[in-house]
Amino acid sequence: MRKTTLLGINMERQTARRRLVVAVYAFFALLILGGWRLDHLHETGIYVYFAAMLVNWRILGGYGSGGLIKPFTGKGPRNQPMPSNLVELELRAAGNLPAPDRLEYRNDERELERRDRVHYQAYQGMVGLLGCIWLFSTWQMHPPRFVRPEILPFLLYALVLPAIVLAVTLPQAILLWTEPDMEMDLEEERTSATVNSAR
Amino acid sequence: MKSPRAFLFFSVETQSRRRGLVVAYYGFFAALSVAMVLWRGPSSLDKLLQFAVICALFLGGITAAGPVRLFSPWQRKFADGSAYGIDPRRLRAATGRPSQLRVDEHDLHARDLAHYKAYAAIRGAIVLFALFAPLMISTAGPGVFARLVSLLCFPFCVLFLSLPQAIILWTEPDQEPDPEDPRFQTVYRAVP
Repeated sequence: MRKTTLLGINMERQTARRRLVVAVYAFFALLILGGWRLDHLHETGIYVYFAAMLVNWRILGGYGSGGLIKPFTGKGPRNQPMPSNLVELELRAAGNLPAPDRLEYRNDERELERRDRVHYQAYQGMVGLLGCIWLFSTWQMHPPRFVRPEILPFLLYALVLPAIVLAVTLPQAILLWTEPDMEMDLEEERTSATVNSAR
Repeated sequence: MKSPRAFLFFSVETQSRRRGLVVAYYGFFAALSVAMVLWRGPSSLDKLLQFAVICALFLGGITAAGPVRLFSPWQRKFADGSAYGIDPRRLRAATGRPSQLRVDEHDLHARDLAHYKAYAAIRGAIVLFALFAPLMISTAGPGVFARLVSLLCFPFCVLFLSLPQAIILWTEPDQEPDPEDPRFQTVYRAVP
């Protein structure tokens, strides 16, 4: 992870990150339900996509330079991200803000291994969702007796929409969910420092 | 030593053959899609989905029947018999064939990296689709959207089910042959 705080909330604890993941998906669920009630997601669907992109960009990270997770590619942004305080803003306006630190965005061996593993897990989940979409799509072409044909296009769209939201956010969510507490590392460092000083 | 690898009856032991298989696989499906669309119309592609699933099974990864080793550990347990309480070593001794199910760290790393690359590629396509699909719904209606999903479902399904396996087959280097003469191997014996 690149950042340890989000909107002033400490994200070093695993429970805090898990709450964040639950909150993000609850937000998406409410957004989809609200859009469905408003206009069956005809025009509100695009706002769900944009919300997913925004959440991905500003909160989760991974595919982009913002958010909690380091960029999966290990490459930082060309320009310094938006300043978080007035001093940085003034430095940026004066052109004195240094270029972003590349080491801050570089993934180490463990992070690369975790990145690949969560993508494998997310891929397995998406295979199941793709199977459901395929089933609904087949039903749309050849409607079975137990489903009313006029609701199938809406059902298909209502399934495709969460699938797209999941495809955009699932690896990052798994990563945030499964990463252990970061304070453990600090404690270990303190313990090792104490042992070294005792020697 | 690992068992010989083959796609159906074609050996894919060397990297050039594996790359040839990947090109032939996608070339075959591209030609098949074009032929079906020209011959029977775009709505006929959904009839090929089962065929695409069966072909993906023969690549391996999700089954033990292909050149790519099984991805998930729980599938491996079923394939080597340990899920049924059978000792895999006895099963191998009975069949007389080396295990295709044995995986090492390198295999796991290759599997995860291939899934990352495949996911990143497919995610880009999904994002593009997500941006353009609502425009189509607002202008043409959900019926046209459903037909578009049906049309895109086949190529997407082919890619989604086979891309990690294809990446593994494409990038895996040639294996070094086993040492011919075991006389020069150094054996260390632990003395209590």
